[in-house]
Amino acid sequence: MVTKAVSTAQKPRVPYEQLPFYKKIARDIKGSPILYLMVLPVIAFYILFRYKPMYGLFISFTDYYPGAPILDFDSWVGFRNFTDFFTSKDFGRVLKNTLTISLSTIIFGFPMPIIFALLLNELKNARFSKVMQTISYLPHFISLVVICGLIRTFVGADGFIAQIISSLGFAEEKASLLNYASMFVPIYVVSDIWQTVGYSSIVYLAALTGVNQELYEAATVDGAGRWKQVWHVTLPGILPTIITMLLLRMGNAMTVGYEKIILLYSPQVYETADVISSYVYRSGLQQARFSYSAAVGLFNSVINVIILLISNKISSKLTDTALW
Amino acid sequence: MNKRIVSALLAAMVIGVTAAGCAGGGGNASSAAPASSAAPASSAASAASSEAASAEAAGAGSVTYPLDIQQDGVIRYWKPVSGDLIRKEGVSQDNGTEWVNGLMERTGLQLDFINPAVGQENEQFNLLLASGDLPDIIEKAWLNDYPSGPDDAIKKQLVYDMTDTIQQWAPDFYEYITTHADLDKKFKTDSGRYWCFGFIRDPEHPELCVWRGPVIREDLLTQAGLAIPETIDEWTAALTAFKEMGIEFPFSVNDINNFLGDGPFCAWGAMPGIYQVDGKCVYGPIQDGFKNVLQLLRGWYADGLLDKNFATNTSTELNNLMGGGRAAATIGNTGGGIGAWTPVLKESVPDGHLVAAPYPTLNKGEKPQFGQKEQDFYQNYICATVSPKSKNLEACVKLLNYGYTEEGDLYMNYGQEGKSYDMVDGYPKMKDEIAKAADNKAEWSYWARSPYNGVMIQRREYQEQLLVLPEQIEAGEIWDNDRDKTLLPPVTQSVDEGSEYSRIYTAVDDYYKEFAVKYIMGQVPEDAFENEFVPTVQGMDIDRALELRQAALDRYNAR
Repeated sequence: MVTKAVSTAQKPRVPYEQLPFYKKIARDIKGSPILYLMVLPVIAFYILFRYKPMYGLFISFTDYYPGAPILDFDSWVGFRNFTDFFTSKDFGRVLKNTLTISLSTIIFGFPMPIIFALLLNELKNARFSKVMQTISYLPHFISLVVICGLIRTFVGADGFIAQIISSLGFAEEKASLLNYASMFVPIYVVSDIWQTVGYSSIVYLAALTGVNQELYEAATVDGAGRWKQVWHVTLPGILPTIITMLLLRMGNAMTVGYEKIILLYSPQVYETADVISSYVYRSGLQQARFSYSAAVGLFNSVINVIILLISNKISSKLTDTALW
Repeated sequence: MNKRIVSALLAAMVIGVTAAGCAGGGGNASSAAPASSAAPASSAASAASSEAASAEAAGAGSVTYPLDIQQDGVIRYWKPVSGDLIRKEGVSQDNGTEWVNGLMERTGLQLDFINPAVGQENEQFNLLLASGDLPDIIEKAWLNDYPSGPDDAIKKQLVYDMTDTIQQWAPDFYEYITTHADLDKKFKTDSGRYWCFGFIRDPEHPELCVWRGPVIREDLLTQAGLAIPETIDEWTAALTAFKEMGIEFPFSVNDINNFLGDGPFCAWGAMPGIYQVDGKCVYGPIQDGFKNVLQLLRGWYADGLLDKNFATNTSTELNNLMGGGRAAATIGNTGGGIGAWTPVLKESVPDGHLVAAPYPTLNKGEKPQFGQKEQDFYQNYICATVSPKSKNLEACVKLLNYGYTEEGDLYMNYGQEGKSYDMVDGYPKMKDEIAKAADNKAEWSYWARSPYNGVMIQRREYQEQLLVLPEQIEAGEIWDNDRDKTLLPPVTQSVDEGSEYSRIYTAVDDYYKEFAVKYIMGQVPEDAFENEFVPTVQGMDIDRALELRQAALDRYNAR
């Protein structure tokens, strides 16, 4: 204690802002070592599971075979895997399908949890609202394989959805809706909403509790009805949350998870169902073309980063809300 | 001189092995036969050679079980679990089953079986090879699933090259394949290396190679006044009659690729995939004859004869349709098809009767050119390979050799004497609780490996006891066809060939599957076959893929 006091007395303390970066960190660590200790596992996780595997992307520039070392310069092929993909007849199709499915989930799926949260927020009966919430979470906790099994059954030849649709004359009788290329995107999007609406609404419900209650009182005094309150108080209150969520979602605009696709598709609906990730899965893991599928995956990630940067820029210009 | 001794010896072994194989006759065929038949054969070769011959035999190695080997750690054995086995209640993996326990006891080795997740076998196999951490033994259809071929796998240290040790460590296997000339060719690489053990269907009994084909409801045919259809036209007539009788799905299938893959209804000289005609490789789907097949099915689909869900049905769904009598005809297996559906069908339709129908031809009396018929060992069968990095090389090779010894032959086919089977007059008689069980294939798989792709020779006695219905036993003959003549033998490719071939062929095959389904469903115009499909496939460089296959076939023929 004594020495410390002496040393600080000898050297006048440089203001924090003027310190170089590493000294800032050093001072921070000294100031709150426990916090830094707590963040360590998180950093380790990112390094081990998010950054370290990245060197594997090297194989997208080589002709990799199982058992070979990853960094094998002898099998370097440059951009051949990429040009193979760009010139293949599947390129246009998987790109189009990825965008279609992803944008439809954003357009139709993104507002749903917000609307749902607003509706729940308006409920007066707390018990009823709790029950509704729990019911809506449930699909989120069911394994995707089971979910897709359910979907297959619902839209299968004897499924109730297929029967409704065919009785309305939109499909043939006794035929699974998954046979039709035109039905795939609607099935995907609607089931996606069903799966995620409850769970995604949690973050909006949390944001709703943060809206200043006095604003509502003021609005009531000004004669605003329920609808106007939602429009002028609630929505602006949770707008930053909405924008952040939308940005995060846009960053994944080119990503459609392969799991649900491969559980639902079959060759005759590839035309609308085959997306980049399912294509990577098929060519990489099923047909053992590792380098090729790594190249396709890398291409996908690069596009995602670009979209994220662009949408972040737009958002910071328009709303002053941005990720960085 | 030496050669003559060896050939005499081998001749003796053949007699021994076949005697063990066709153990139908009187007497105990198990251990006495080869010894007694070996003696006269070798004495005929040369009077002085009998001692030399036995010395030679010792030199070539003979393995006695249980093995007397110091084992370095437990042997890790990677293999897909049999779909039959996991139907047995409470069983989900190989570890802990009787066949594994018995195998450990008999070979004296500690084994740990690693089963990849069901349905993910190919993915996990690819990941396994990529991981570099190989188990001691891998059992997989290498010839199918490892595109660049065994020579390449040896070079990349994925597979142990046992050419130098096969005679010593696996004498029984070596003896068996070398005495069946065709098999020797199949188990070698182009450069003459021995690299795997495999599932062999007893070459003496080709009927073991036919186990799938058209299945139809005979009772409905009788009601309609029709005989079992033999030609394409008769099939259309029969299905139309079914439809008029109110059957929801006159013809249903579950997996389009399995269904078309064997070439049923391919009566116009072309079927899916690459196969050989007069020693030349051809790609079937772009031949004119294949359009007829697609048109036939397209017509069936339009007329409601073909199940509208033929492309999305799962096997469970097909089981329900056939067992519930909602579908009247399909392509099915002897065991899992006719055998499994019949008892269920009888519950809902008491006089329901499923029988095998021949693969249809254009004219009556022709022998079908295509259909399901395999060779004694081929592309799709499993190959068991040893990792070159294994610390237990010798033990692994000797373990895999066990299935080809006389004792191991019985063990792999029927399990443990006294527990799962009894020797009755030299005939391995399966216990009733196994052979007569409702799902006898599942029970059998718990004790032995004959039902599904073992490291062994599948014997006729297995089939005879497994099939309980007369319809099943007849099926093998009814479904007979000439497919084995066009089927490519297990050819192998070099690395570069393999990667080029798979780059072309996987894309073509993907496209073909998609097109075929869309064509059948009428989603593309009639002339799309010649205007769109054929030019696209040719533009994808199918000719180059055929060239590569042809080169591989020529090399195989030259082995």
